[in-house]
Amino acid sequence: MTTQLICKLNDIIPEGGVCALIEGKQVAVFRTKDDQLFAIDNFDPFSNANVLSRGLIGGTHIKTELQDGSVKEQEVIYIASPIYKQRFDLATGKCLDDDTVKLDCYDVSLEGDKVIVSLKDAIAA
Amino acid sequence: MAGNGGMVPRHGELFATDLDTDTLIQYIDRITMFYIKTADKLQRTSKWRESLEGGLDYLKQVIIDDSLGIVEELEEQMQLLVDNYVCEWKATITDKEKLKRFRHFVNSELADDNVVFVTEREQIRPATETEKQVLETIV
Repeated sequence: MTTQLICKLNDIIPEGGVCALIEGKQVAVFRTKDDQLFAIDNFDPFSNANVLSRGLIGGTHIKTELQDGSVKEQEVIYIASPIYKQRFDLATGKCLDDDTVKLDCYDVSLEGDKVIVSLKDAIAA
Repeated sequence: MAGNGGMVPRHGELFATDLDTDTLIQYIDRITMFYIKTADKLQRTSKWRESLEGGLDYLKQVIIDDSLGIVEELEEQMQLLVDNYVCEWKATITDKEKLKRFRHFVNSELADDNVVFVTEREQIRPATETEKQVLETIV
């Protein structure tokens, strides 16, 4: 497992993202307006380009049907790729527009004003 | 001055000749500021000039003879514009903080190695996926 300080919190504009290079891997790190942090692969598989850190953060509600027939509604925060606009759930890496696609996401935390990213096994959905 | 190309052409007119450089700039400043203050929204200088009652003679009186007594004020207002002008490009490339936004990585000076160019007809264009694979095997 690799843990790395990548930048200060204020290096990331709120509702924006940056791209960090960690052991040769490109990781997109996002900061919401209420200072939540997310980290996900920077490579967009639909356009084959390292652009996700430049995408637009957005939110939506996803309805899932549970086994007992009830419907659960969850808020999902996503990143939309700047090229073709496919959206990726920042918590799980799942593509909301193509359920065969899922990106790796990573642990990111704040220590004081320092942003720390850990590369380990991808978080299970 | 006050010529126009395009759909409604108009010849430029001779306003004054045999001016030294300082006087030339002074007249340009005065005419420009007079235009800024009196022209209609989005009105071109050619149309503005045509709308002046008294035409070119009137304009010469205002600018050269100071018939309205405003040339000093016009020059001061132009100086204010000049003093407050900032070139955004220059301000950005001389500001280390702003330059950071043009780097691919927040924590490295390296470029994105997925961006590969090839030359075609003496110009650059992005390499196709096939070309990238070929280039990778060469390197």
